[in-house]
Amino acid sequence: MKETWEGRTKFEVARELLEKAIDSINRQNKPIEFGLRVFGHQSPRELKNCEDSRLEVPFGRNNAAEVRAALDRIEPKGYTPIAYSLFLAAHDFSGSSDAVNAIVLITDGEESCSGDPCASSEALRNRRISLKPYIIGLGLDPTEQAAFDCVGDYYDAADPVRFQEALGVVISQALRNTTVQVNLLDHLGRAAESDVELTFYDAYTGQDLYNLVHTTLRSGAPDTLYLDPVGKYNIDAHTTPPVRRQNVELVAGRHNIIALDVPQGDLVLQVEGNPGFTDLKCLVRDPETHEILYVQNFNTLHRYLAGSYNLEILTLPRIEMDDFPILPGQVNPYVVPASGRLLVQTNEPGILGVFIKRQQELVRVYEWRAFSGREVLDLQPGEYLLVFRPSRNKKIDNTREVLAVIYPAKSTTVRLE
Amino acid sequence: MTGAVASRTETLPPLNALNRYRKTCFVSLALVVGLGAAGGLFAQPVGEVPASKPPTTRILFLVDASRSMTDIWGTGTKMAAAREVISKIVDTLSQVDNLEIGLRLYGHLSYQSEYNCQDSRLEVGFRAGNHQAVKTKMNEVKPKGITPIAFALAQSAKDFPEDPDSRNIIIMITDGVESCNRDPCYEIELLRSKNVLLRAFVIGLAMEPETHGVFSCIGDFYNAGARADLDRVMERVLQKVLSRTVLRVDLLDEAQRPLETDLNMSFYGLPGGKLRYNFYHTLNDRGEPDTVYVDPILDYHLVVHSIPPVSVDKVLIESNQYNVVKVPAAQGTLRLGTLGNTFSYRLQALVYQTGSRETLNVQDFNSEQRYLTGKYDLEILTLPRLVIRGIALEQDKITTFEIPAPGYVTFVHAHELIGSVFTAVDGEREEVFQLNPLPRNETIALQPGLYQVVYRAKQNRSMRSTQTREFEVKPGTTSSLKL
Repeated sequence: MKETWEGRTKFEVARELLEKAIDSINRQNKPIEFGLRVFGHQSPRELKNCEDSRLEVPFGRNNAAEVRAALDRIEPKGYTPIAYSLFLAAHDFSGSSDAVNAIVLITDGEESCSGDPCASSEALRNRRISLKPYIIGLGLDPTEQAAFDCVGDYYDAADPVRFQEALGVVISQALRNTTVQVNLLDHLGRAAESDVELTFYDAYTGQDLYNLVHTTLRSGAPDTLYLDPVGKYNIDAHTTPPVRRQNVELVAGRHNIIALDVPQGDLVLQVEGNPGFTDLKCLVRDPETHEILYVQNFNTLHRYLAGSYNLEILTLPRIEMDDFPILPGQVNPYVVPASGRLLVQTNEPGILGVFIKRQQELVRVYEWRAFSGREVLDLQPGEYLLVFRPSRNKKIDNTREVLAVIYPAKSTTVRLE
Repeated sequence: MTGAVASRTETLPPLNALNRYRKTCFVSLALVVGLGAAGGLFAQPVGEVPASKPPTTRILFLVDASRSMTDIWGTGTKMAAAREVISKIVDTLSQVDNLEIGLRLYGHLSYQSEYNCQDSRLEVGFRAGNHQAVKTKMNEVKPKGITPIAFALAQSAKDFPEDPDSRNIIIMITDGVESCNRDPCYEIELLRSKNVLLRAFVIGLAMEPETHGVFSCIGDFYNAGARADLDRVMERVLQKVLSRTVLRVDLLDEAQRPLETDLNMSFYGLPGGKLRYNFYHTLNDRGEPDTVYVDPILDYHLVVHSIPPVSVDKVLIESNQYNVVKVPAAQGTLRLGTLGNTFSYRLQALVYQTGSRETLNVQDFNSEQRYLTGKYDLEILTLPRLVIRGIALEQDKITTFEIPAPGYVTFVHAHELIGSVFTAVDGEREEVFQLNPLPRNETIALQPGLYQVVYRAKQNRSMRSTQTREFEVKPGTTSSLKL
């Protein structure tokens, strides 16, 4: 900082411009507080002091004069412990949750200790302490600039005029409102989807910060939100299945658009001939993991992300419909045949199984271990093989088979003589 | 778990130990006839209502009449040997019920020099009382041509009448290998794929050992090394065709004891895979697995309909022997119940093998079901769904799983709204269900716990108007929530 810039040291230039900026903001009478932390000013270079960083002026109202006095007092001389300073800066803020905290880091060099400024910056954001630091570099070369990419937003000030500009941009950004618009995109990439519940989580702690039901304005544009620009968010759109966007960072002082691809279509489940009330359920599964995404009742409509799903309908026997397509922007109907009713009667108790043939193999559909008298079972239309063995005498040979044909919405009576 | 289980056939002493043909042939065939006459030789075919007619057995004798059959073998020609053995057998078979025979010859129409690769004809077709005709034809035939085995096999498909329940058998007598450039294996596969043929037996007359393998794809191959062996070989073949065979299936518990029972067993005939029998397993009065008779011309693919099913890829059946198959089928019982109030709606649980999400069974609450012992996952269709992992079912034990009664919550809203009920799982919100947007009361059964309802009036076009309300559901209670 002792290098010269137009005949004066960089430090002198920076000091003067910073003082001007603070005065100018002060005059606007906004609810803004300043604090001043300085690094590399206590120990001479030879001491290689990597803990040379000090909060010279803590946050407080109307402390501009104190800041100016401190700046006037300081002599640049030591190392550049940036990571350490950012780490300590976390404790400089009061912890009031209403405030938006920002750090403006002014430097003319790279980290000179072994600290990791990226990690320190990440920690500040993860803990929602401050916005990504604004870095104003005083004539850094491109490699040195690149080292700040992960720390925050870098502004290069190669000369005093550019420094003043950068400082202005940084401060006005930090002060403006941050707005967010969540665009729920349909299959054509239009922000046309809506009415979806959204949860905003703190990406670091996982705590849920906002629950909102998405809406569009009368103009059709998505509604705008005012969100805290500090820290990172994970956003869940509670579609079926949910869509998650991780580590969303907002640009402070800007209108941020977060676009989520949620093209959706409706699935409507019906029984052929619409026989009225049914407690029939359909499991809608992810075709890859086979996990249930939703259990949908028949005669209802539910909205899904466009794509393919495995449907499993809890009829007897179950109907499995793999890779059923839900087309976006449409009502996709799935209709199952009405079940018929099997009535079985016997004079003698026994064990009775109901089987169906699938690709030449018998599959068990239902079984009564202690069948007696009369039983009723609703089955999908088709041919069933009833296998019955009376329990009276213990002979396998007494196993009997009866073919029963079930028709939709009709009864079939079988007497096991 | 439909994985293959090794099948083991225990060989007990044959029902009839036979040493000499001349003496024993009659005895054993008489035994067969006796069984046949007793009725119920074979179990009911699938799809028939009990006690219909037993299946017809149709045996096609496919006899080589090529030039080489005139070679001297023992006391006469090879043709004479074939003639004698068939005459004897035909007489015996005329006594058997539900059995028809036919005769197809090959190599008897053209001379060797003509090289006729289509030299085969059905000489006596299947019909009742044709036994004398078969004998007469065998006496008349003059061997002279070549050996078009593949052609003869292909033609024999048309010889069997269309009858899905019949047992179609070919008994082939040959002294040579295919002389035309066709593949008998291919032809036999074709017959099987069309379900024409159940089984073929090939009797070789003094065939060189290196030729035996050629016939293995056609069917069971028996070589009569000397003239004196021929009658014995034919008897073995007929025994396989006509006897019935005892099979016992031992359903083993975890201690390898045959104590599991009351499961249906499906037998699929091999080759072909057609369903042949269903038997509900039982233990007889001695507490041992009861036996059944099965058709020995087939091997079987066995499926035991436990949950999940257990199958044995191939049960090898030795005719006239006491066959035992051991199938591990140890079972435990899962009982699902609810604590306190029962549910006012039908509650079901999906049962998976642990780790899998393929539904094995859907079990109603307040019911019991047997499963193979092992570990299962349950997914219970409450709101929210409950997933229970690794429930262990043990041999002969009833494992009870009970869930708390739900609370009933009525959501009351006078305006159209958009909203959902959420639960927090590991800090993450999961949607439990969506509210019906229409302005009406909606009552939902929820499992006890803490929930949030997040909603917004539909006409209120501002995300900031979203409201979040927490509520607690206690078991067996009813409550209402005004939105």
